[in-house]
Amino acid sequence: MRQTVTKLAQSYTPMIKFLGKHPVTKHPIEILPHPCTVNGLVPGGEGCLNPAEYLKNSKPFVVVPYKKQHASKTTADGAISFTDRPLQNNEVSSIAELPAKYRFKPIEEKELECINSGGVM
Amino acid sequence: MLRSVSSKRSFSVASRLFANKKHEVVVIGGGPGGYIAAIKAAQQGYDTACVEKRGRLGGTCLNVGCIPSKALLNNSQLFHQMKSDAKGRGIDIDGTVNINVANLQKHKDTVVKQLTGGIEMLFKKHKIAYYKGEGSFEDTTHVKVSPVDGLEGSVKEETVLETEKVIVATGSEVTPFPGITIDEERIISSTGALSLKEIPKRFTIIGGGIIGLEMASVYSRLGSEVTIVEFQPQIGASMDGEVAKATQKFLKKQGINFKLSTKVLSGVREGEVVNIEVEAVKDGKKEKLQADALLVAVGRRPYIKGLNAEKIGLEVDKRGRLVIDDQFNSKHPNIKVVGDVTFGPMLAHKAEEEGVAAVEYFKTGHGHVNYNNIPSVMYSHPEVAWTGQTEEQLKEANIKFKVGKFPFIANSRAKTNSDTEGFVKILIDEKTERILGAHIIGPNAGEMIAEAGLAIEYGASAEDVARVCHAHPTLSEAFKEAAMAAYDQPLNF
Repeated sequence: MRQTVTKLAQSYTPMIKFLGKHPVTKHPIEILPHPCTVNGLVPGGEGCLNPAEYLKNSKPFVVVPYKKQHASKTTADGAISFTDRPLQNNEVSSIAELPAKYRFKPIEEKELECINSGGVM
Repeated sequence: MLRSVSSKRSFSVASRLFANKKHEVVVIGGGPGGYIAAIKAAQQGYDTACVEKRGRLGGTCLNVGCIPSKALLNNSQLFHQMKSDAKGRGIDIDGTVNINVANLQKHKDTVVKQLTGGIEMLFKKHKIAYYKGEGSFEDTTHVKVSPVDGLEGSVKEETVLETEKVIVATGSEVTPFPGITIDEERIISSTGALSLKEIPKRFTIIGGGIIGLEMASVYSRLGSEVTIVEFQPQIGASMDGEVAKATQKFLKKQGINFKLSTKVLSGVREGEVVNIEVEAVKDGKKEKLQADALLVAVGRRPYIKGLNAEKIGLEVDKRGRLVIDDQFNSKHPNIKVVGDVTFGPMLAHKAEEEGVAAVEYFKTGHGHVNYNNIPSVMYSHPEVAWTGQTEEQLKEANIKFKVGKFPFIANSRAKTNSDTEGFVKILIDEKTERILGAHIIGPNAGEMIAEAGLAIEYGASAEDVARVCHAHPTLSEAFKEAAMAAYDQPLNF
């Protein structure tokens, strides 16, 4: 039975033309444009742009979380929230860095005693 | 202009001092184009390295594209079928069928993790050196791999790879929409659309291309009221005109609304809603819409950030695509470019074909990609798939053709599955009857289009296909019948 099926397969001439083994294709030496390019653009050719210039002129894709876009100035209980930023001209990060005349005066011994005892003099 | 026979080596003193690894081929980018090129290169005997900064291989396709979207499409379709179709098929469901969004996402994430892990196993099998970091050019034969902050497994310090051959496969990114800020919560890109934690009640999509239509299908099935806003007068990007109209018709039947020839002027989030202003292209009439989520799906663009392409004189065109010749060569013959970052359709399988061809060009001096036969598939239900020429393209090229069409309502298998929406349309040369294009709307169209691709590649005529025995009952019989309709008459319609 198997032999008959094999003989039938061997005697059948397919209607589709069988191309045979892949031929070795030789490519031309000339630089040809990519099939999907427009206007025959090739590397080093006219119309090519510098990638750095292209990136400079194109808007980057960024994801900006909504909370960051709309950071509120006050917190829910009304207290002021501070946003971190670099120091500007004539700013210091602590009172201790101010010139002496602008710092708090040291508290005297007598005043300290008064405060610690509840303010009764 | 003639090709350079040998690669020019340019020296960088810094690279000479710091080059600490050497590979014959370095692939920059681990997406479909890159990882396939790396595997092919290793199989051809090259000492191969692949540089990827995402932290996982597979690129956009596996991580935030084809794969997760197909998982969501499949599961949302199953949910929709159980809800709307079960009773008619004799399946009584005791209780309610509900969507568990967390588990839906979990299943999708599991599939993605398994596939990306699978590629890492393939890399290990083929002994491909995998560098987690950002790849950039030091010169034409040195690629620097820089550490990426917060990336697990990233190279600890800058590593310079000395190499003979480079394949650039850096892929693409989402194209932003001017004036609309994406937050991936309410105003989202396709990446955010794949990870929504809740089903929006009202979902507006800017863009009627494949990505927009697929996401529309998912969320419509899950219960969202979906509106697609498209600037062009028809949806479907490069679809055949008749197929695009039929696609819009069945999507409309599924509850998706369309605003074609409509321009989006603004999209602004205010709290938990997004306010959108649109304008009709024809008469300039303005309209205000409101949505719970807005998807920006207006396309993708090549990604070359951080590559340092300008350092070695690589060039781009006005759309940011790296310029190459017909052998994928950049300005330097030892540097080839494949995939979304260069010319051609932005499809994963196109990138894969190019990845293989680029390596074959390196190895044998010959590679092959047939850009006239790259299939496209949209995974709606029914699916839409096509390859070769459209009617519009043939008319524009003044090529006389004949059309053979067969509806799935006349196909036995489609009937048994109660899934008969759609048709097969085959375009053949009027004189030689050679198949020039095939367009399918129907169940499993994405699988069936492979037969069309093979027929086109072999230069088959409609009769050649019709004389091949197709199993019964199968959906593929519709393809055979369409071929018969093209050159003669169908038997079952």
